[in-house]
Order: sequence, then structure tokens, then C-alpha cells
Amino acid sequence: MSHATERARRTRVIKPIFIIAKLTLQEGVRKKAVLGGALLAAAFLMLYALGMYFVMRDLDVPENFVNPDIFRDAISGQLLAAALNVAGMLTALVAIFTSAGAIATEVEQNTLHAIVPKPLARWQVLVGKCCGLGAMSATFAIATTIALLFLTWLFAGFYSWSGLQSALLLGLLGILLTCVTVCASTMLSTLTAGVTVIMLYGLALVGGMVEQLGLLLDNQVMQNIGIISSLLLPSDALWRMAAQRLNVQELAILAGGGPFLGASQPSVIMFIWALAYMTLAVLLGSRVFSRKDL
Amino acid sequence: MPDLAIITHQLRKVYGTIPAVASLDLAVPKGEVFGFLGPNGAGKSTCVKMLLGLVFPTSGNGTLLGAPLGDRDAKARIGFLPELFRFHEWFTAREFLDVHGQLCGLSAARRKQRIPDVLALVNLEHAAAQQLRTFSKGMLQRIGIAQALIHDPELVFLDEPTSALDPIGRRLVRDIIRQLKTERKTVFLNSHLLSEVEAVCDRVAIIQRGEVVREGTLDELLATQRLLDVQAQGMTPDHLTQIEEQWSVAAHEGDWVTVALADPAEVPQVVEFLVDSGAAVQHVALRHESLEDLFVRTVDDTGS
Repeated sequence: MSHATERARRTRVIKPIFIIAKLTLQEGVRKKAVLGGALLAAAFLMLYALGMYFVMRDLDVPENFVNPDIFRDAISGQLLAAALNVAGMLTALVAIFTSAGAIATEVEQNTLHAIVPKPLARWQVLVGKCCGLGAMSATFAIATTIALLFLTWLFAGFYSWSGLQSALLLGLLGILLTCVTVCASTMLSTLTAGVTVIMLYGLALVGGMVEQLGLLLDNQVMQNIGIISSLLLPSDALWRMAAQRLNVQELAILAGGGPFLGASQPSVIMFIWALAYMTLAVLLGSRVFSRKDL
Repeated sequence: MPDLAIITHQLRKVYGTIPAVASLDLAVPKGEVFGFLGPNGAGKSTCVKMLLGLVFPTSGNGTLLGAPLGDRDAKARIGFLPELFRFHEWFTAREFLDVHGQLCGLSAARRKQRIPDVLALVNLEHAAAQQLRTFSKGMLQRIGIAQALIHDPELVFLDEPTSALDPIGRRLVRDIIRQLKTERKTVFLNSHLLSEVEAVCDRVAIIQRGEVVREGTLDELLATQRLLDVQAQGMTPDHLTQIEEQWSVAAHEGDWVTVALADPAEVPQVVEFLVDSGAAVQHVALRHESLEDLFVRTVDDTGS
């Protein structure tokens, strides 16, 4: 195959996806979904900054602590982990609410009638939507996490370079939930798709907590429940990986431990499963959408 | 055999156990304006959707511009105005056409040239920077026509293109269709407005329960029968029964009766019959059957 033919083929595949992704992003901006997300994040960050400021100002270091800085780091690390937990939930809400109608609403409103007869494949429409919406939720997650890291450094002087990995993992969580919700949107109505993925997310969240308690109590059944729930949707596993990257576990133990820190680090296999899950969601969504009567 | 833009062979669509389209056989020559008619629920929209890849046929097959249904290269040469036109209303008219031009594979330079052209064609140059959400229904329908024509397609599907338009808008669409015809484009027109179809179409097909029940050029279809409108005072039901026995009563209201004739030479016989039977004939006019007459007759004949 000549270079020109290969280039034309690649353009034919990528360009429609790019156009749909751009269209989706533009829609997010024009319909003020991006503005809503930004305001939500700003309010959350403001509260976090205030909380961190007052905690650091009024904190009394226990007398038995030799190094007060370590204690302060332990407390700020815990607060950061708690805030990361909220950031994960907000990312999930942003990803699910913006994607629930990606296909379903367009089918209900017939807006796809002008798009689908154009010279592009249906899977390109779906992948384009996943890219656009995924970019929105990933940007939300990454920007919020980086802002959290910055505020923690600003008010508590505590920083963790590997926290950037947390930001990326939370971004991946946003993309994962976007892909799953878009896939659900090819099969269900907007409301049902949103509710279904929220329920699934909640299930994974509770499953993750049960797994952590199982580890503390050394209960294998509880640990297995967590693993199965992560197989159903690896969102909690991704969040725990993000939390682990903050490197605040040991510090937190000094301060008595905390509810937002996992007792176990999810395995690399779970990370690979999250990537595979995302790919499978896109493939399944493409297959369903490609056979759907509009 | 003329070069055909659309061919379908026993195209069928069943929803559950209900057939929406029983078996569609169509052959639309290139360069013609083709009217696709049928009563509500006859399966017209489903047929159009199957041709454009929005709905998948249960069985059967077809080609558009020589390529199988759904072929991507063929789709680049096809324009479509959907019946239920809903577009992304947060776009301005220019942005909307730009995106649809991109989706059709037009280069930036070509889009820059085509967008003002199609906006002028549908008389919306003044609204280029206006968001679609501020458009009236008629303006939305016209911008929909513009998006269908942005890439200068060879085959254009217009599904009820004048449903939201006022008389001026309808005339505009008529002129656009005539212009497309002079450019040797093929137009597939699905419309309930039979006067519109009669004014612009070369050929029509009438479908009933998803099957073509009558098809041909307008000249062929409308030349088969003449209608004689007669106004006669003193006409009784007995007169009508006797007319029905020899000819056919197409319509009757008050003093007026419309008699369907196979041969115009039968006019004196009808008048003579009425005069001899005591009716006072006041007005007689012979005319061609209109498309509306043909449509109603066909649907009545095949509907039972």
C-alpha cells in the first residue's frame, strides 16, 4: 500500500471521529455543561482550601510527637485523600450525567437523522462521542486533582509528585465511566442509562469498601465480594490506585489511619482489566449502535 | 434501460410481527424528480429510512447510485432532508453548515465557497450568524435543505420538505427542485402535498402497505382517465345509479357529479342521458384527472 493510500485511509477513519468529538465538545461548552462542571469544581476547591487553611492554622500537635511537621503532613495527607475521594465521585457524576444522553437523547430527538446518512460509519459517531465526552470528564478530573495538590502544598506545604499519577488515574476513571455510560446510552433511554451506571458505580464503591474491611478483618468472602464488584465495574479499583499514588498511607497511620485510604493496592491486572473494560464498552456500544433502527 | 439512481428489490421491514414495508420494488432513473406518495402509515418514511441506512431492512436489497445500500462512497454523493428535522440548535446557521460540510468530506476552501451559495439558495443569508434555536420552523426546514445540498449531491432525498413552509417558502422549494432537475440531479420527493408533487415531479409511485400499487410518469398516469364535471338540477339518486352502471361516478355533491370517462368521446352520451332523463344540465367541463384524484382513487381501490 502506498503512503498516499495509507494516509487517505487513515484520514477516512480518524477525521469523522475528530469532527464528532469536536462537535461534542462544542456542545458541552455551548450548553454550559463545561461551565457547570467548572463552577462545581470551583465551589469544591474553595471549600477544600478553606478547610485546609483552618485545619493548618488551628492544629494542635500532640505532645508525644517528636516531629510536628510529620504530624501536619499526616493530617494534610488525610484531608487530601478525603478530597480525592470526593473528586472521584464528582468525576463520576460529571462523566455519567454528560454521557447518559449521548446516543439515547439524539435518537429520541431525531438529531442523528441528519448525521448518520453522511459518509461515516456509525461506530465513528460513537467513538467520536466517547472521545469528546471522555476529554471533558478527564479534563475535569485532572484539573480538579492538580488543583487539590496545589492547594495542599499552598496551605500545608505538603506535596507528592506521584500525585500527578493520581490525577491521570482519576482522568482514566472519567473516561472509563464515559465509555460505559455511552455504551448504556445505545441500549437504554437517557434516564435509564444514567441511573443504571450510577447504580453500577455505587455497587463498585460499596464492594470496594467491603473488600477493604475484609482485609482488615482477614475475611476472604468479603475480599472476594470486592474483587467481583471490581470486575463488574473497575471504577473503585481505579480510585484506590489514584489514592495510593498520593503516598500518604504511612503518614496517615501515624495519625491514626483513615477511611479514605485503601488497605490494599489493586493489582496491575485490575488496571489492565479497567483498560479492557473500557475497550469492551466501546466495542459493545459500537456493535449495538451499528444495528439500531433510528 | 435508463441509468438508475435507486433500485430496490423486495425491500421489506417487519417490526415484531407487524410488516411496516411489505415488499418494495423501485427503479428511479437518474436525473428525474421522483414523487413518493402514500397515505399515512403506508410505510413511506420507513422506506426512505431503509434507503438511507437509518433503518435496516428485514430482507431484500437495493442500490443507490449503483452501490449497495449503506455504501460510504455513495453516501458522499447523497443529500437528505429528514422529515422530523431536529438539528443541534446551539449552532449558528453558518457553523451548522460548516460541520455538515466537514462530515461530507468538503475541504475548508470548498466549504467557504459553498456555505454562502446554499444560504443564498434557501434565502437565509441574513441569518448566517443566527443560532438555530432562534429560527422559525420554516427557517429550520430551509436550513435543513441547505445542509442536504451543501456538498452538491447527485441524489437528494427530501422527506416532506414543505411541511412547515408558507406559500412563499413552498415556491422557493419548488424552484430549488426545478433547479436541481436542470442540473441533472435526481430528487426523491416524499410529500403529502400532491399539488407540489404534481408541479415538479416527472414520475411518481404510490405505495400502500409498503408495496408500490401504481407507478409511472405523470403523463402516463394522468392520461388514462378524464373527468367530466357536470352540474345538473333535478338529478336524483336513480340518475346516479344509472350513470354508475354505464360509466363511473368519481364524486358527487349536491347538483354536481364528476363522471370518470375512459374516452372523451363519451361526453355527449353522458349529457344526452341526463337531458333525456329530465335533469337540467347547467354546466359541463371535461378535465384531466389530477394527481389528487388519482391518489384518492388508487388508495380507495387498493385500500379495501
